[in-house]
Amino acid sequence: MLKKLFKYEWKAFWKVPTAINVFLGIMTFIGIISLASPFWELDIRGIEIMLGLAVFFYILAIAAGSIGVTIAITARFYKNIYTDEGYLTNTLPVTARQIILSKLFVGVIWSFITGAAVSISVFSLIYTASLSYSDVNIFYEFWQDFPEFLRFFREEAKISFFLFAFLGLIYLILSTALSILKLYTAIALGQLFSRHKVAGAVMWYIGEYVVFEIITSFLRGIPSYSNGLFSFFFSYGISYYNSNSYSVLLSMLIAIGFCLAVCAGLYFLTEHMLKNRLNLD
Amino acid sequence: MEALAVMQGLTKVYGNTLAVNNLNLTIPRGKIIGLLGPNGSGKTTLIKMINGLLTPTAGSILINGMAPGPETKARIAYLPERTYLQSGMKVCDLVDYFEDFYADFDKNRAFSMLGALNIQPAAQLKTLSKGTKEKVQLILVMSRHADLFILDEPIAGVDPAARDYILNTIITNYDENASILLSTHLISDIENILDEVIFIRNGQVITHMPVDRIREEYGQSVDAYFRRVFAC
Repeated sequence: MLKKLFKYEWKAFWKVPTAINVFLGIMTFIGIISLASPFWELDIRGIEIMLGLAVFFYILAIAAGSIGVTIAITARFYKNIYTDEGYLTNTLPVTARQIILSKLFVGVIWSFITGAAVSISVFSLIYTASLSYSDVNIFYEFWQDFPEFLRFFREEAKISFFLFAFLGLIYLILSTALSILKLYTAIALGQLFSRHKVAGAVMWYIGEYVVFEIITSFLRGIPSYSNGLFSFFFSYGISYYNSNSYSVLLSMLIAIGFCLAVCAGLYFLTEHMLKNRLNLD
Repeated sequence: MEALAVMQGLTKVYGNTLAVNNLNLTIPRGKIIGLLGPNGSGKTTLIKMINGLLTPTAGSILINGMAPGPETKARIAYLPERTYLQSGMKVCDLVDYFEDFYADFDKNRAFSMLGALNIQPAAQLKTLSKGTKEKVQLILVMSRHADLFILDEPIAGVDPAARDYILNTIITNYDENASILLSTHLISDIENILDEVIFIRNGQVITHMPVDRIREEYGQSVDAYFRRVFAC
């Protein structure tokens, strides 16, 4: 049944994030053409302001695209489970677990695709700009420095680059699932309100945010959980690796462990609400 | 024969409102049963609890001996009083959807009924009128070989010409061991197909008896008897 739910969830959801990603792609293409052309080198009055505005709107657009996909994931969960559509979703012969997981898988995949699209877009523009306006080929430079990069991981951070990349990927998947589960849990808990359930969900989300901030501010004291693996890695991992040769690996494992534990907690709370406290209006 | 559904001490409280009050009810097999009562009497709340869409405050529900869950949902065909289908889907996609999830779904029966009501399988749901959407929902629900059909206001939104077809569909499309629980205010339209009626008021069953008994004992139609019992 999970496979069938996933199939229909994918079919129902793909259009919105695809449109957002196509829009990002078109914008990136225009940006590349623009940066590759000599337009920005023309001696036109106010060209710096135009460049500043173009960069501002580009940043605004990629932020809006990412937020748009998150909003679409949230709206889909709410609409398909807690509004009229929920009368069908919740009377299918499937478990609450299968319903949540099918939506979570699709949400994580599209968040990942969008994240990758944004990264490729930003990198493409930086690469084009570096080729057009400087002598630095960042691809070439990176390739030249790659052996040194690997040596740094192996000898100084005491972790193989590939293990680091693998653990980083797991962390990214878990942190993406965590951000979606925070929204799912807030929506599910919002159902505890007899009226104004959406406002209740927003209140729960703000509550979750505050609790997470408090917890992470405590956890930053020990090199473990933080706002992001990479900020955590650069903040703590590098400064600790001299004194503790396993600190990078250990820190990553702790970060993954915390993320997994919080994901599990939020998931079971959402499942409990859907399984035992469902009250459709 | 074992009862199809048994409810004991069933209670549902919304804030300060007692919607269903310590209700006891047994639904037998092989009957078409009218669930009748005035607005706000607790009919839809009861139906939603049987379908697992509402969590009871107290009491128990057993369907085929099991509490509401995936196993009971596989055996109940539920038609709510609202449109629950995703508007972006085509009618034929919805048929596939039901076939994928419900092992008892009869695809040929669904297409046959769609044809009889002149509904194009390729039509997108959002292009259909409200009444046609309701017909599509009813067709999907009645194309199952379920144990219990729960129909909440199945004919309220459709034209009188389609009502006869729908009622005929209801009578002919269920197995002898299955039951239909039918909630509606259009009593005169449906009373000829009913075997039993359940009258519900203030969340409690006040009458549960065969339709023939109402006619024999009170010399009235179900509609007339309902008006007498619930006279304002």
